[in-house]
Amino acid sequence: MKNRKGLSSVVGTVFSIIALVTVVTYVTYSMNTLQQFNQEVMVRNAELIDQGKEEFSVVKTTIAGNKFNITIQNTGDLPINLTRLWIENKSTTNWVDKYDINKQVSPGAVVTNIGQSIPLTALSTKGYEVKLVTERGTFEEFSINSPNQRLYLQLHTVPESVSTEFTTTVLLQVTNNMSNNNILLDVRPNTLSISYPVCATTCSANYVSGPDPTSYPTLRYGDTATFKWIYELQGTPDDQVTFTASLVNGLGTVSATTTIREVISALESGTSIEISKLPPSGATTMLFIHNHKTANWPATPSYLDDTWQLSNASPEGTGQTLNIDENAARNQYGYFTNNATYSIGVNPGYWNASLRYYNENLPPTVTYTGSYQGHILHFNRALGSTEVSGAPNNPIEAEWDSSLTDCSDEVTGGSNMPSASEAPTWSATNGVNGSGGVYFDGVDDYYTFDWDIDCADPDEQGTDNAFVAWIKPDVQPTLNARQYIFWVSNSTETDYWSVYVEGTNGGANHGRLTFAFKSGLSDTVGTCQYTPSGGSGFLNGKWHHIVATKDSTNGELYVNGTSRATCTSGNSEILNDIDCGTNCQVYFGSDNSDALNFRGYMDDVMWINDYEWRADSTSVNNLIKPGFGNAASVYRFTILKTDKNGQNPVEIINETENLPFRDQEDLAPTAFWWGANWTSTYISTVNVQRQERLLWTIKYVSGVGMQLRMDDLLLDGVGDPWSTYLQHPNANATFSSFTQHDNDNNIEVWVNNAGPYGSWLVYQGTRIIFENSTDSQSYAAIICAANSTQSPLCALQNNGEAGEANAVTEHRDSIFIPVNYAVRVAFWEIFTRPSATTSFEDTSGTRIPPGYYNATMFIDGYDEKGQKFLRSSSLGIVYIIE
Amino acid sequence: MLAAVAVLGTAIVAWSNSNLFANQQILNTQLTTNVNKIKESIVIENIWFQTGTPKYINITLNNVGTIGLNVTSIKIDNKTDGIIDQINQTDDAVLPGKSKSYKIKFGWQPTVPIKFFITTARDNIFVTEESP
Repeated sequence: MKNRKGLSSVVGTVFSIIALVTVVTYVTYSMNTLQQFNQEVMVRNAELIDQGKEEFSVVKTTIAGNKFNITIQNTGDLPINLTRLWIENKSTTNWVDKYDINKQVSPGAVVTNIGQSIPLTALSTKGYEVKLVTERGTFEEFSINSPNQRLYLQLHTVPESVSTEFTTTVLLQVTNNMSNNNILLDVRPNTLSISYPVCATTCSANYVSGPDPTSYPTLRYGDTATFKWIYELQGTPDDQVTFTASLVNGLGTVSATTTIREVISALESGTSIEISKLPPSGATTMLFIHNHKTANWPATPSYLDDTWQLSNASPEGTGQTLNIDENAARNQYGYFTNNATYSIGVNPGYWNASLRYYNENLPPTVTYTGSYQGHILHFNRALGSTEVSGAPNNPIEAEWDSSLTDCSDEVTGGSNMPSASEAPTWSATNGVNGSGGVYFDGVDDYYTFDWDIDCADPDEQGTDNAFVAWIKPDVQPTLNARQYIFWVSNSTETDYWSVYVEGTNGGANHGRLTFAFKSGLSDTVGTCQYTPSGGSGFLNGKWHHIVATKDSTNGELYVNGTSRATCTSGNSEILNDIDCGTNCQVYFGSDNSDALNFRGYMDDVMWINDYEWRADSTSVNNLIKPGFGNAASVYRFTILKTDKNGQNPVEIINETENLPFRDQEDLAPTAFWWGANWTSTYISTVNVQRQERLLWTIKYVSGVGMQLRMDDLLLDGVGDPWSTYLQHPNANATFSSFTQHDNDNNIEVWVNNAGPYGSWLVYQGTRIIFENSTDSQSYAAIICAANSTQSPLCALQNNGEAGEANAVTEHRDSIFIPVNYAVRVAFWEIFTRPSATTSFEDTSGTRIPPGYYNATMFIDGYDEKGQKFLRSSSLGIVYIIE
Repeated sequence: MLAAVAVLGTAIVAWSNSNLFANQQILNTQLTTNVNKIKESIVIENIWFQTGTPKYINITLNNVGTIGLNVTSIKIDNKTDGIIDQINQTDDAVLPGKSKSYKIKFGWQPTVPIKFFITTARDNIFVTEESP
């Protein structure tokens, strides 16, 4: 028995060993399997890394012997195997084919003649998309003379207007802006297409040369190619020649027009002289508003409130501010160009208005009858920041209507402002509607200021008053306290106004808004309360517009323009106002103990004195609409063509635009740095014919009003911003400038040398001519000086010579006019018989009488290349006054 | 007692051997499946948007992996109509190093990008996006 027991142990042990060996074998097998899997993963990762490291670039591509000859370089760290060449014919016969090439390329090596052996006849007149693929799947794609997307094409003619039988240069610019970063190879333009949109009798554009160059071998992404043609034009004045360019196998076309201009005499010099009554703007596409409206002007059309001059010349005045919304009936202002004496073609594109303005503080639809100013805080800058104008900043300081009694001294808060750590945090875009706003942290943030009792009590003798604000309380589900938005009281707190939101830890009335007021020690408190549905009340992280308003004893609470609660206080006091005694203190964001602080955003806070507001939901709603943010005002912009009298308008553009709020408190009294742009939708070509005018109108639609600054010479010449202007796409001629002249004075005209050569003017043939369109008598004047420094501009010496250093006489030419410089050319007075005399010595002619004249300036001169020029240039309609 | 030990021992060894062998087989299958899945690799070499009526898309893919694969479906999503077109293939085999082209009738729109999803029998999905 004992021996069997031992044998059983041995047998048991053997079985145990077998079981153990089996388990160990299984574990070992599992680990080997895992290792094998890991190795496969590592191999795959290595393959992916190699694929990422693979790089090559196309160095050059040509078509030689009707075969592609592609050169590539391996720019990566690994050898590559080019396996396949894909070629797609993008021309009318659309096909794709692939060719096996199998070229091994070592790192850094260059391989040429790819494509030479494939059975494909390549033609330079066809467009191809080519793709080279490696064994690992890396590929490089490029186009040969075949942009498969519309490229950015620009076409210009220089000059845009020429005399008949003179040449113009046509420039085509091609920018590779293809979205897939494709390289373009062998870019070629098609032959220019020529048309004659305006042609009185016979017109022609005779080819001289081009394109130069004939092709660009390579155009990488972002690069621009320029092709040049020269054509000689023939025709009569105002005839137009339109050139249209495109690319071989490309998409889209682009056009440019050249106009033939009149020239009285032969023109040998290439110098371009521009003439206008006002100084040149430097940018021919800018039309500034000028401060002229009483002369040379049609009566204001019936649909406009007022009209002003729109000219390509720089501002010339000291500025004027237009209140666009002042007339409730029309609120529409117009700005006219001079009537053109020649047709003007404006290229298709976007029209843009640069507006220099600031906003009023309230919409014109908000009614009030009070006599004291209120206060408004837009929070458009941080406490302690510096205004753009350089004036010191105090966000509490703001009053809105200078026509009312000035109570700005009510706000004397500077010395009582909180410390930096207790000041709310300002941000530029977190206010209502994306404007500036402040955030109160709910711990110790607040604003405060003293009320100046010398002006009026906060609730002057129970007149109608209102506290207005946009608030956005944070979501606070467990808040169990009051958070004060507004508090004003006397020092004994017997008289006060307060607005606060309550937290009850999610219980009943959680998030309730309360307006509470009291007018004396023995008075009872008036309490208006409202809790929006939804559980969290006002503590929901959303913007709310609140108005707490009160007359003698009756309070009312508006939320988002709707009256939500009314309440009444006891009236034991004789005067139902806040009797400040010696002091009243105002708080935003806390009560007067700085213990119950508001947590959330606040914006556009107002205290409205003595207004007829209670139960006036219209005014409340009108106050909400602008929001004082990025869409504070809505204006309608139109651009019209009219006849010379400003009548019979034809609409070109008619759009409304939301304009951002520009706070006048950010401005020094004389500064107009604020502004915004209006940009039109894409507008097709605009042709303004002879005797037609361009009219730009701005009409108030809704929101706060705009004070638009125009013709401000001080803003000009200091870079941006400029005075208000309209910018149009390139045109083939400039719009005429405004011209008005007193017939007792010497007329002065700006002459700008646009180049390419410096020039002089001479006395012999330089005149200004005034054609009277209503009778047969016309008038003229002779040049007297260039950049005269005298007053009057023209004067005589004892010997009868024009008497100053810059005089132009038969013995003295003008000063030199360098390229891109302008001079003021002065003329003797305008008579029927022009002469170089002063008016009192003249007895042989008649002075030009008041009226409208078609003015032309005739120039005689020569340039620094020794070429002579004789040129006449229209000044447009000039209005002569006495 | 000896007999009991012998019977019990034999039963345990037999059970463990068969159990471990079965697990080994499962491991083996999983390894093979996963390794094959990893080894599968496709490059979508060219996509040609063919003009004409009707419009077609020609997709050429290249098996750059080391094992053969079977394409089971090609899905096309042009992101504009919210509808994904699916073209099922009957386990279309592509040998290693070989390419395969598919001509699919599809009304593509110029400049509207299209996403392509190519699914294999091993449930690998290869995605690319191309704009006509």
